Amino acid sequence: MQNPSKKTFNLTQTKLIIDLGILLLFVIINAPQFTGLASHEWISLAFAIPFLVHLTLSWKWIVSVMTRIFKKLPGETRFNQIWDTLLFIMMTLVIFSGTIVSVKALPALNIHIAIDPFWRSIHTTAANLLMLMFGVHFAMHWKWIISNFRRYIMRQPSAALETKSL
Amino acid sequence: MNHIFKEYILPALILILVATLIIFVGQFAAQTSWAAGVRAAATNQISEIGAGPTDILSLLSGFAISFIKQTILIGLPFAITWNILKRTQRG
Repeated sequence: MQNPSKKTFNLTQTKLIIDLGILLLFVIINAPQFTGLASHEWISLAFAIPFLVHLTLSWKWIVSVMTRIFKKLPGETRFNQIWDTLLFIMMTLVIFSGTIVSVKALPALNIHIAIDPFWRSIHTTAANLLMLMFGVHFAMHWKWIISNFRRYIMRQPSAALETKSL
Repeated sequence: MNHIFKEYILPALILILVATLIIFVGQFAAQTSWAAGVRAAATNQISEIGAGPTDILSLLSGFAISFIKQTILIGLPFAITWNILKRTQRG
């Protein structure tokens, strides 16, 4: 039989590792002057996988908050609900515009689309806005990241466990 | 079965629908006169992203540009939000 506490532990740890991976990839993707255009496009395509995993692992929260859209919510939860929705909209716009202005990755996959300068401009603006929004999203979950980083990566016992052991 | 539909399939369909709607709105916006203006301005702009650094100097300058840009665009909103959160939670 599976230990439920072990299951929770693994899920949080997996979420943390995926989220740290997303952070690293996000920073690399947003440094195209450093990586070059081809790497930027290929890493961005690969980014879809951890992004979908991130959504899947947060699915319960997304569903529980979205089903309470017209109900009373604590201020911080309401802010996260609105902010994460805007983040999703912006992410969709960046992914879509980035895909249709691809000059390296899509042609390499034998997909040829005429580049529209309008979408290139939208991609740059939306990507800059996405970075701003990501900074806020990151700060909103900073406490969770730090406490779980200490617990699972640095292997420091949490305050609750310390009290219990005393 | 009903539980799987309500908690997994339906929300996923809504997310896909929202994403599709955003793309449609974007495609619609691309046909407007505003888009024509953006297109005309963007056509004459030189792309700031090249093939990538070829020597140590371009590697360092690429790193510096990215570092400064991300410090401002990610670090600044992060710091402001974190400070606001700290103050509101303390209160």
